[in-house]
Amino acid sequence: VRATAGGLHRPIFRTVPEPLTWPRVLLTGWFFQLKMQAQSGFMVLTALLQPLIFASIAMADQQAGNRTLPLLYYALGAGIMGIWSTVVFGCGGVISWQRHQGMLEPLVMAPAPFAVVMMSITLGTATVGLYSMGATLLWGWLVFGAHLHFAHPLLFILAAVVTVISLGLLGLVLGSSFVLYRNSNALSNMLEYPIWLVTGLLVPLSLIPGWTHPIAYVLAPTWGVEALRSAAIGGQPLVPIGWCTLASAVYLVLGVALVTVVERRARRDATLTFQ
Amino acid sequence: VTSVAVTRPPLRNHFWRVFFIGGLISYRALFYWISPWQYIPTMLGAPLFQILFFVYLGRATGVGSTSFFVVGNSIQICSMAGIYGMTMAIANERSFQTLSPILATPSNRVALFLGRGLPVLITGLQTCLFGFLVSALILGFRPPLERFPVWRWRCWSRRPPAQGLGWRWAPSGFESGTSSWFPTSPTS
Repeated sequence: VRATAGGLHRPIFRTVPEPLTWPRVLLTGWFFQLKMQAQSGFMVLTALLQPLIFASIAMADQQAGNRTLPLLYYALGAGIMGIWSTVVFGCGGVISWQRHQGMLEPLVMAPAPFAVVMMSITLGTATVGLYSMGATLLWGWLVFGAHLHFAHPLLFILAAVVTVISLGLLGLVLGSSFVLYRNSNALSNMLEYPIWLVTGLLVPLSLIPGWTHPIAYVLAPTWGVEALRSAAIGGQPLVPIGWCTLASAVYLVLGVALVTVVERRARRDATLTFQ
Repeated sequence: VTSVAVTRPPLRNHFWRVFFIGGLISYRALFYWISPWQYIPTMLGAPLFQILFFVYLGRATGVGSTSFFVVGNSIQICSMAGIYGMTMAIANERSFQTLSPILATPSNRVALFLGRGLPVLITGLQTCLFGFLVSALILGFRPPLERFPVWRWRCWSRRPPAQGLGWRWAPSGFESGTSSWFPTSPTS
């Protein structure tokens, strides 16, 4: 934007190429969403208390049973279960929720690309799921006496960050595809247990029928939990981190394409306000 | 001034009318998941995967048998349906602002609320039996048939406490905005 003063064209605002503003939009939106979700009773219960219940069941089973997997294995799995729950419920209905709040039209009209705005929301929601990771680790240590010794602490942090990003981007795909399905809340209700089971969060993949493995390999929680377990218990965490990153890139492309299609269709048919 | 004689149906007929017809109308209006698109994923799909999850968890940890987890989870999903159904029946009345007019009517309260519980009770029993059926088909669950009447009694006897919890949780859950979370996790 320029103003004319004394024959000179002086810039009032520093103008930068638009894509350079996207990280700021992403960061601001992420932080805002994080603050909002952290105050939502439903999200806190989903991310904090529910994983503790499942972690308790799994760790009590482990202690009563005859298998030798460490308690940390179950604590980490239950933590990812919590992140997945927040992603399914928080990101699955993200467009419908923005519409319900009356925020969808302003967000679509904003100069920033709608996909970037959506991404900040889904990443913020997935980050709230980190509560569950901390809660289950602490719960396992305090109540069940889990041994919290991390083989690769730095790689564990890297794995946690990569896992949250990949789940947030998977949330972008879910959020933009669920909007096409009128009863998406029912689908959200059904998507918790099968993904927990298929991705081997509490049950090792070797015990699950082989035909489900291809489904597990395209889902980020599989690689995320594998990366976290390798970094915590011992192993090669870089390989699953790499797969998780690759999955994130695929989700990003798919999510942006889907959001663009949904936005274009809503503009063309004038159905932005209506479901 | 002409006095108009108001003819009331006999009290007993009125009770059953409110109980059956009122309960049915309430169920059709307030039970969100009555549509097949909602009912199949929520009341059949999710319980099925819940049973599978816990059976495989039991196998992974080496605790209990398949029957242990199938029976336990089938009873749990039965109660979940009851709690959810009753929570919806009352919380949605409040949401649609019809609870106050209903409470202002002279109808018998017992008929009013028990009638709302009956269709939910049948739904829960259906879900429970579905759990047993798919477990028999997928997981090789083979219950001894002579014990079937005992199970059926247990399913039925578990329903009233579950619905009682639904009645209790409906107002508190709705106020705190977490009514959709409360019924599931604590029962796990």
